[in-house]
This record gives sequence, C-alpha cells and structure tokens, in this order.
Amino acid sequence: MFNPDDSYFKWFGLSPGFEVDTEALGESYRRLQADVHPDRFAAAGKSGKAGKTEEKQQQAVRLTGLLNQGYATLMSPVKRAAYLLKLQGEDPEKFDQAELPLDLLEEQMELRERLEDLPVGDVALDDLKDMKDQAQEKMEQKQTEFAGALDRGELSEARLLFHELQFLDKLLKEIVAAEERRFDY
Amino acid sequence: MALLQISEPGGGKGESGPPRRRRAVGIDLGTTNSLVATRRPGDGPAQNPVQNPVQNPVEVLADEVGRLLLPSVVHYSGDEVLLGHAAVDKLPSHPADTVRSVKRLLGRSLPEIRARYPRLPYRFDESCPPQAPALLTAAGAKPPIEVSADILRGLAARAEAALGGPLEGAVITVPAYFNDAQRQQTKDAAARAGLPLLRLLNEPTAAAVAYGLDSGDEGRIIVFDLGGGTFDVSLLRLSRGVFEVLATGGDTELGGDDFDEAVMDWVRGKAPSTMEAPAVKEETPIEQARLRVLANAARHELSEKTETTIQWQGRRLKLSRREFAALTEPLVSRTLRVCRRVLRDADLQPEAVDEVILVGGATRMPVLREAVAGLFGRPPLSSMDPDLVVAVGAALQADVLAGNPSGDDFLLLDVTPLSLGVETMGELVERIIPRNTPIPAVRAQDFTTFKDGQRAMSIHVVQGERELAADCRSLARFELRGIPAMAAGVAKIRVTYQVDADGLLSVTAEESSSGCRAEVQVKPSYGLSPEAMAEMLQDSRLHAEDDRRQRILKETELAKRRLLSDLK
Repeated sequence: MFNPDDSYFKWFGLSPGFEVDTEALGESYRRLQADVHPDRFAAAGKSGKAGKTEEKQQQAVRLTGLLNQGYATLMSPVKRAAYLLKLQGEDPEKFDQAELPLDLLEEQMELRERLEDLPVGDVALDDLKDMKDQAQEKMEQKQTEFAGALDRGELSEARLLFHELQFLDKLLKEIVAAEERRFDY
Repeated sequence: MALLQISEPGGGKGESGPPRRRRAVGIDLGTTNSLVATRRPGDGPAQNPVQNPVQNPVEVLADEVGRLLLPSVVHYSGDEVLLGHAAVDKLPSHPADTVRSVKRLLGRSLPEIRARYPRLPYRFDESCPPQAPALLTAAGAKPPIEVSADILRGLAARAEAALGGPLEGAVITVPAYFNDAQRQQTKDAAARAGLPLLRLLNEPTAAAVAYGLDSGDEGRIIVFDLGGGTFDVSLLRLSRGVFEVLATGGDTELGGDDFDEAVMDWVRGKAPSTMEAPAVKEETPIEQARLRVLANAARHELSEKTETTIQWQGRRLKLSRREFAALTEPLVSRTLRVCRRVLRDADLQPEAVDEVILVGGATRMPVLREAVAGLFGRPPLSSMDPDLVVAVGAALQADVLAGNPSGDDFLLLDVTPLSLGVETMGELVERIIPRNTPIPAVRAQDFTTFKDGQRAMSIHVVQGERELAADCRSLARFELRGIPAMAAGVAKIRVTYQVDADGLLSVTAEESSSGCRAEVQVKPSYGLSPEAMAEMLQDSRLHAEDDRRQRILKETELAKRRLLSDLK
C-alpha cells in the first residue's frame, strides 16, 4: 500500500531525484497495483454486504487513479522535472517570458518555422526524422543539465532549464504529429 | 447466551472440506457467435478441455447436443423466441424477424444505423426517439439491448444447467475499441438479463490471459482480434502475473462480415454480365440472406482450398484464393494500419513483439495470417481455437473476481481506447485523459469564468481524437450552477474525469476558490448526438491537416479577442 499524502518517490520506494530507475519504478508500480486495483474488491459479497463492496471499489478506483497518475509523472522526464520543482516549493507553471534567453526563443521559432515549411507529402519524412533525432539529443542534454542544477540546489537555473525542456517536449510532439499526418494511417 | 462461532465458508483450513466454489462464468458476447465458459474446480482437465497443448482447467459449456458456439441470432415470432442455431434456420425465410449481428447496433442512433448499414432487412419502430432505436418484430419492438439480453439469457440458462444453480458472477467481454455508449449498453443488457456482472473485460486482454497463463510467458504480446463485426489490436506486456496493456486500437466497423460483403459484391458485379438481359433489380431481403450464406461458405472454403465455386441464380462462379485476396486487400491493409498505429502509440518496433496471438474466427483466413506474419516477422500463435480463446480468458478472470481459490492469481491493467476531453473556448477540445491512459484513471483540470459575475458554467464532455468538439463524439453536457458572483477569471472550477475499470467515464465539476462547493455527477448516457468512433478516428487521420488549420484560425481569433479586451 501507499499513503497518498507521501511523495510519488516514496510511493514507489525511490529516492527523490531526477535520475529514476524505470525498471524498478515499473516493478513497484505493478506491485502496488496488485494491492489497490478495484478488481481486488470485486468479489460480490466477499466482504459481506454488497454496499460495502461498492464503496470499497469506489475508493479503489480513486486510489488506482492516483497511482496511475504518480506512475505517469515519474515515467515522463518532463512531468518528473515539474514535479521535482514543485517538491522544492517552486511553481513550475509560473514564469516570466522575459526570463528566457532570447537565443532560446529564436531557436525555437526557427525550428517551428522549419517544421511548418516542410513539404506536405512523405518526402518530408527524412527531414522529420533528422529533426526528431536532434530534438531528442538536445532533450537528453538539457535533462542532464537540469539534474545537475537541481542537485546543486540552483533552483532558478533548474526552473529555466525546465522551461527549455517544455519547449523541446512540445516541439517533439509537433514533429511526431507531423510524421503521423504523413504516414498512411 | 454465548455466541456460537460459525465458521465462514472457506474460512476454515480444510476442516469442513473444500469451500463451495462460486458459480462464475466468462461470456464472449460476439457479433456472430457467443460462448460461455467456466473454470472447473481443481487443476484437472475439464470434461471437454479447450483444444490446448497444456491441461486447461476451463470448460467451454456446450448445448444439449454438444455445440459450443451459440450463433448470435435471435428469431422473434408471435409466440416464441428462438436462439442460436434454431434462429439461424429462420434467417432465409424470416429475415425481418430474425436479428443477427445486433452487436453492431449497440450504442448507435437510428440515423447512424441507417447511414452505416443501408441494406439491413429490419423494420424500425418509428415512434421511438432516434437516440433509442428499436427493431419491429413479430414479437413487438425490440431495442438492441433487449436482443443482446435474450442472447445472454440463453447463455446463462446453459451455464446454470451445467453448474447446477443460479450464477453468482459473470465477466462479459467487449471489443477494446468499444466507446462509452457501447460499453454502457452491454452493461444494461446484462442487467436486463439479470446477470450478476463482475466486470466488462476487453476481448484482446481476455485472449492474452488465456494464452499467457497457459504458457507462463513473460514479454510483449500483440493480440490481433478480428471478430464477425469488430476489429481490435492490443499490445500487452506480461510480467509475473500482471497483464499490462501498453496500447490499443481498432475499428468497430470492420470484421469477418465485411469479407463476406466483399464476396457478395463480387457476385453481384459478376452475375448480370454473364446473363443476357436482366436489369439490375433490387435484391429482396430473402435473396440477400441467401447470398450472404453462400458468400460466407465460400470464404470458409477458401481457408481450406485454393478455389471454390458459388452457385448463384443458375450460374457457377469460380473464385480463387488469389482473387479473394485481391477483393479483400483494402480490408487487410486497414487491419495492418491499425497494428502500425498501436506499435507507434507504444513507441515500439514490430521486432520488439515477442508473440502474436490471433483471435476470432475470421483470423483463420490465410490472407490475414500471412499479412500479420509479414508485419511482425514471426508466425502467429494459434495453439488455441481462435473462436474460444476470449471466453476462456473471461472465465479465468471471472473465477478470480468471484474470489474462488485457484492456483493462478493475476491482475489486468487496461487502458482507455479513445481520448476524453472537454470543450473549451472557441469550440476546441482540451484533452483531459488521452487515449491509451491506464485505467482506472482520475484526472482533474482547472477552469475559470470568463465574464464578471458569471453564475453558471456549461461543461461539454467529448470522446475522440479530433481537435474541434463538433467532430468528436458528444458524451454529455451539463451545467454547474451556483457559482458565487466574482470577477472574471477568479473562480476556480475543477473538472474531474474518472474512468473505472470497465472503461466507463463519470465527470464531476466543483467550484472551490470561495469555499463554496457545487458538484455535478454525470454518467454519460448513450445516444447523445452519437457519432461512430471508427469513423472518428479515420476522420482524425483524414482531417489532421484541416484540424490544425482550424485550430490555428481559432487560436488567432482568440488572441485577437483577448488583445481587444485588453485594449478596452
């Protein structure tokens, strides 16, 4: 079982930090699921009254929903970064556009434009693949920087890096969407 | 007086013999055929164990003459309801009073049914609201859930006779790709038939359980499930008794029936050209039913032989396997597209899949087997009968959920097949729960008022992948009232979406910034401005480019409006 008031890291028996062993995370996730999943409380009349079963199942649905959310948060590097900032008392959503370095914004604008300007057909697939690889590489680099800043307790730098991660994440999603529009399905 | 300790059934350790097992069954409520199965006590083989290399404790229950499949066909006449084979016999003579493939009608409105299946031989009750259609039969008006309930009653009677008492639990399978309305109607049919429903279970997940528990495998499994009228693909990861669905996809309007239709169309196109004059006349429902039987028989024969003959209106038409493959190529490639999409959603390459499981009678077609083997680079598993495997998995799950002691304990973690969202400013959809999110899922999002003193907010719940609310399926609309008067943007309205283990959604909205609470609980009901899901997904592919332009337009418009109000 887990206590919903504890941090997600505690739920899954992980030490808080950006580096997460996803294998171990998956293991504890599945173990916790085995405790809280509503199917564990499905047996009609197992606990006596039907009403009680219903109530327990409702509670299990809410707990499992929370568990799934915690798992999704720690599995995704960007969501995990936001969560770590929150644990440090930072509000990751709040930021001033003016804080962001100009060259970062310019670079992002350029990449978006490049994406927009790609030809409609699947001739653009190779270019998209390149863009994706580059964005992913950059993403990894920024993640390492974020982890470092967080470790050193440089929260304002971490917050800035988080926004870069967000930009990259959005860009990656747009690249994937552009790919999907060109695939035959 | 002292209280007497009465031992709980099954509570004591063997002093009163083995506990009585609960009578629990798994039901595969199929488009074409339905089945009921149960897990027999102990690990010994059942009386008619499913064709299976390993001893399987599940028994698929047969009728009085030993047949396992109950055709999902119901015949209504003035004084009787005939089910299954008896009803099939009435198809050629009484097509309008004999309902087949009713699963295709669940959760759909009359206009939707008419648009999708223009050749249906049934009469519909015009006095019913279009959202709740009913078939007019010799036994009166029958809504689709009533027809489904009749099939369920037949299966329940079969199971009760075999198990010697009333059922205490049932798991009913549904296509993974069923939407909220279709799931809700399946649940309603079970309630009408008086079945104690434990759970709706996704068909491909059930199949994975039947295979997975059997082999004790670990790894990634893809289930390719082509039934009579629906198509599902699920990608699962199996590890230590936990079946985790990684992604699912499908098409609720693609099935073996469509392969029959392709053959029927071929016959229709072929027949007149060889005759001298007959003007193309409207086919009668009886002719249509006969042609369907012939086409279906031809398709089955082509799974065994390389050529078959169809006798139609005095002519002999030869159909080769190669010709059949050409006729059905568009259908086969639709199935492969769904597979590729599922792989992409799970971010996996075809080679990363360890096993491929084929489910559904239609997967006996060599043309499909070859296509699937080609995509995944490995021959699919077929040690279990593809017609029975879903019922077997459902029976295993029913047994666990009923609390019967068994050697196997396993847990199924499924996902939601379609994105769930809310309509926001500018008719755009804000996704609250994206497709392939593990369920049960609970997600909340905060919204605010856009006018000073706004006292109510209307919330429109939609399902689908498109960007504009009008293009998604509308599940529910409701109003949150009693918001205290505040300046625009101050109120904090938290909208919470909750999807339970059956895949059913409920939504609550609550205003919290002032401490004043208002709450609305919505169970989306079927039939609200319905739109087909399969079409929606296809649409989202076709219109992705369109949507993006629309979105940009809407966003620009919003930005302009915001600017204007800032200037004021």
